[in-house]
Amino acid sequence: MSGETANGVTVEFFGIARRRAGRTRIVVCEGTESTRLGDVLLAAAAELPGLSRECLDGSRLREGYLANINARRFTSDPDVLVQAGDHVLLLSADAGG
Amino acid sequence: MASVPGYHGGYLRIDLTDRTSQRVVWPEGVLRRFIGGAGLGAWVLRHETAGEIDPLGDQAPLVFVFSPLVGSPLTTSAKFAVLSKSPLTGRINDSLSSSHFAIAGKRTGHDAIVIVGSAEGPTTVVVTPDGVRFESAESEWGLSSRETGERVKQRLNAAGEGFQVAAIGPAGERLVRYATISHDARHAGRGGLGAVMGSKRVKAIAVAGDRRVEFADPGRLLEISKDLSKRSLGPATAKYRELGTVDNLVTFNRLGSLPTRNFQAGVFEEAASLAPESLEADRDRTRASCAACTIGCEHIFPLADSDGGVRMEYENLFALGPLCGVSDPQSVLAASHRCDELGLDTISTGASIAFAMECAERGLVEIPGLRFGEGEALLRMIDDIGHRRDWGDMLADGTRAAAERIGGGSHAFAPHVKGLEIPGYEPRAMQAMALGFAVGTRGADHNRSGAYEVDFSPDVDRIDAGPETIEPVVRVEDEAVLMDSLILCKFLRGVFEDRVAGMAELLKPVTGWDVTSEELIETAGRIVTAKKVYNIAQGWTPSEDTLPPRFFEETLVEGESAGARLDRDQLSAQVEAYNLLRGWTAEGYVTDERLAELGLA
Repeated sequence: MSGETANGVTVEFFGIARRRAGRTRIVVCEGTESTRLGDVLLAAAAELPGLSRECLDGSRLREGYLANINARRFTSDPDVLVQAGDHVLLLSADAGG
Repeated sequence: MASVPGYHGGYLRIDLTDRTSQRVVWPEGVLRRFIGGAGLGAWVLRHETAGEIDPLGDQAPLVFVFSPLVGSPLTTSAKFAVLSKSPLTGRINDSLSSSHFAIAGKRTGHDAIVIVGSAEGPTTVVVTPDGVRFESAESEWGLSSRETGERVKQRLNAAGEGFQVAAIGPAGERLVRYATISHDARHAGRGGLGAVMGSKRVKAIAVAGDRRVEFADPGRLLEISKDLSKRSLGPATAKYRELGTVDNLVTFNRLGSLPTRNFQAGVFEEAASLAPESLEADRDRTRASCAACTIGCEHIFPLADSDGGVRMEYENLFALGPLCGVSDPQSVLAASHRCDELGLDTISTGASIAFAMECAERGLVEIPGLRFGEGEALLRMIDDIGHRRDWGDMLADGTRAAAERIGGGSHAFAPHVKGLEIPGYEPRAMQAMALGFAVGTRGADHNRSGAYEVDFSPDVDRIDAGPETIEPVVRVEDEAVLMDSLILCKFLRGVFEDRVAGMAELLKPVTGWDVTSEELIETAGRIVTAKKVYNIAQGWTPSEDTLPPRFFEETLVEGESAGARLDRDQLSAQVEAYNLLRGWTAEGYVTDERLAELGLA
């Protein structure tokens, strides 16, 4: 499953997550209205082994990574609910510059 | 005072006017209460400053401070702090730099070097365990800090003594109020320390020696050093190792928090052209690291038509790129390189030019060719600032002073707090950071307040930050001041499960102190308060703890932070709450009782 559609949840990758994923985004969980963040991450990892190996521990983000829902609210809670059409940004937890 | 492991027991005070020096022994308890780096420097600066002073006057002290960790095997510990009253802000200024100068400086046998007075002509100050000597720097005057460092090292190291050099460039000589002090192309960058050094006619300070400190528990220190090095190579630092901080630009743009065109927007439509892969052009970047560092965060990008390269960080990329509307990668790389050569703080340089670009577009000034997006004009203006030519002479005093001269309401969009130009975090889109900027003792600053971490957390809504913001903003400021005092690189933050407890564990085998997290939190509060007290003595008033009118009066209209702006009453309430949490009055003054509690009376 890949390519952006109106359905599903779009996962965007930034920083190391982008490098591990080898792409900038993926659409997952098509056909579901609402799903857990952890399930979104698992679905992305199933298609992107590089991401799975380093950024995720099951459905949880590993140390050093953070998610953001629709470029607004940050979270690392796998139980946060995500809606169809949402964008999940996966990025480095440290914003230092 | 009995010798404390990790320290030499005193500082060296050099008077340039009468060419004398003296050893000053630390009073009992000072080291444990202020640790080193920025903390110990705040104590020294307060101790060495009598009344309200001219930061470019003879009496102004310039303070180089090492730390107890320097010389240990702890990764990222080869750092030093430089402090003075800032000629840009009129408030306390502490900037950090790294690498071999810290190690060689501490081997002179001193925990700090304080320079007062002024020399008759261009001078290199040479410090060894045998004493101080003053050499003419006439032949280096006018050179870049890089060239100066190379020449002085070549001359002094003929005898094989291992000298390391910190120097100023042409901007420091001309008293540009945001000139840097540079060692091996790493700058103590913010607040105009280079101008303070230039006002004393000191082109360079060279240090070398063989004096090593004892550590309290060398075996344990080696053990935790190995563990820290191992952790420093984990996922928490992968971003810095593999991508560098330049990678922030694309992320911040997506979040609508990338300062663009003098903070008129939070999104730069051409951000992709400044992504790391675009900066590399047809040649790969290389990596470097400071002495005693396992991370290696420095990413050096190739310059066009040159064999050389330039270290790029997010801050110089944002300031000389989107903030000025410039999207051509080679223009931004060249601009950063020129700032390095002249010895200019890239944030204040970019912000001053961006401010002038907006003034020009509004018709407030007529500066030929200076418009947003014009890379050639950016490069010309950098040279003019560094040499104080034409309009560059005015911009060399920073945006606050320039706005006072230009008038026409330009103060509303002059991007500074307390005179220090705002770094690359759009305050309306990162409102915990806005509070951190407002209360920062050295002005708008992302290194002394790490409040962007709070925005980048589940704890707050970054574009509508409420009262829940206050405690974490204080907490990350405390953590930052401790890291700046030990000194450790902030890029290690993520490797500690509990940062304060982790720092306490590092201090124990170095100093022998049975220090706890609780003690370190109190130490952090003491150091922040000492800086505040210094500012009050230099004329600080509560009205300074705010942001420019633009951020309250103009709403972001594009990107993911569209609709965001700051609320003046809300920020004022947050500043008051911050002050009270610090144990100060609601206005931000420090009572005699609080001073006594902290041992600052």
